[in-house]
Amino acid sequence: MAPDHVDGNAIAGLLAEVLAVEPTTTVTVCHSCGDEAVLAQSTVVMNVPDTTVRCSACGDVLFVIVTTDTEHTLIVSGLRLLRMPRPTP
Amino acid sequence: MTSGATWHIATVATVRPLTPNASLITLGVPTWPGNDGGQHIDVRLTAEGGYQATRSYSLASVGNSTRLELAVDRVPDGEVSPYLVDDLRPDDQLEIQGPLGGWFVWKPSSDLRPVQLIAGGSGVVPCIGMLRAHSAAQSTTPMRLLYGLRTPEDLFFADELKTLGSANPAAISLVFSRLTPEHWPDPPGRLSRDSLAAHTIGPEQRPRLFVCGSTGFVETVLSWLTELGHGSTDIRAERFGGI
Amino acid sequence: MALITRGFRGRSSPADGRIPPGQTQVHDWPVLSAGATPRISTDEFRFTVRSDDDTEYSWDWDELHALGVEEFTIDIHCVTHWSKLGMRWSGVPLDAIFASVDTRQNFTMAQSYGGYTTNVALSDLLDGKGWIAFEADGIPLSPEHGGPARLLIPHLYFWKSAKWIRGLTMMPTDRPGFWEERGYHLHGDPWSEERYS
Repeated sequence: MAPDHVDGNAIAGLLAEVLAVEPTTTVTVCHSCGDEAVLAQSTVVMNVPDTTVRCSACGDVLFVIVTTDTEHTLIVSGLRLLRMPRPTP
Repeated sequence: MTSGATWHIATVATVRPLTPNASLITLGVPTWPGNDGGQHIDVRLTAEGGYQATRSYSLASVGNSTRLELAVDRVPDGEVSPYLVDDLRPDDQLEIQGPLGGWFVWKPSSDLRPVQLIAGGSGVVPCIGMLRAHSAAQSTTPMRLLYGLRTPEDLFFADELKTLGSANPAAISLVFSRLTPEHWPDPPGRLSRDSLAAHTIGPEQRPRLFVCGSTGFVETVLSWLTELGHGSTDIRAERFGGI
Repeated sequence: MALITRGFRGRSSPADGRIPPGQTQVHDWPVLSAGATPRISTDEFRFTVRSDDDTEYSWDWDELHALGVEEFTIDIHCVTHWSKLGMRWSGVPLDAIFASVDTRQNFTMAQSYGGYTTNVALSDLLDGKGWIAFEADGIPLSPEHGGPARLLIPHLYFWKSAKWIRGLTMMPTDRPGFWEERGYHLHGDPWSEERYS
């Protein structure tokens, strides 16, 4: 472990910025086929209680959102990465 | 303007018929931060027992106004749209989330490439938002709309489109599938690859294209655009679901 | 607390004791779909019960139908607060399937094409309580509604009626499936509002 490590409290600001993305223009890379697309181009099936987001190139699941009255669970099983623009100051 | 997952309380200002099957709903939202052409909102309705239904609706209104305009088509057997079209009245309150979306959006810029909007049915609503943003900015970027619909009765924003069309006849093209207005130059017929090509900016001008409508409409148009030689990276789409 | 929308009832009609607490009657069948769901042809479909010591009992489409298809009318209740009354379904009762299955275990994990799982006690499947269903309101189940075959357990919340069913695995003790690991109740009785754990 690097001697100068800190803990998760230190990324409160960074992660708040990462998670505050505009979803539809966020770039996804599919774990299965490597296809790079923006989220607006994915294939979405909205069911209850799950919303499944698939790669429009290979059809594999990118991620699933499961919703209850009090929580969302994001199951990220098929994403290699997400890339989003930094907010303009 | 940005996009935000913020919930707002909206108060219904007016509900008036737009066509026999659709209403134009205006909402007053004092906390609204403004929106770009093409953005949408989620409308959430809650019944007494806690049952909730959420649907997305595109905004026809753009800019900094806190008065939002949406056009809602009554979906037969639908759960939310018949309520909005037939039962909603002034002073009712709704929960809305937005402005949403950053992909199916047009903003004025120095980009001189022409813009072609292609709408099927109620898919015209975000295109109206883009046309209004274009007018408000007095943009010199050429922008055209091809609007496919069933009959003249189904036409959304008829007066506004007529005004735009008389200022620039090439700007607005209507294709009627079942019934046309009197003295219309073309017979009624479903949009085809040929009529699409005839009414839109050609690929040699490298337009940016925005396609919006039912999932079936969008898929069909996207395949034709690719066959006609448009680059897939020049096309942005928004699918409403359905056939 | 959500704002109640004046006059919005999700198209409900007066309940006659068939609507569990916190539910609203709907007349359509809420599923929004815009594309890919598992698409399983009836040729490739198999239903498999994996019993004690991994013994497998397996039926193809025709063999499953040959066990005897019933028609019946039931109400369904979704955890997202809608209920749909008086639906006509057809399917094979799990009693007919388990007539040939030798097991001493009391719990099952339902497995779906596509990988989802949900746990169901054997006592919630037998004695006329559960079916492998093929049709609803006279129409073969579309992929969006879980076709070609889904589990149907109308006395539990509808997520237990696993779509795209491919089999049941017997378990000695109850343990959570995909949904239950993510906050849904292990059992799911709508009348006692067993929505979330």
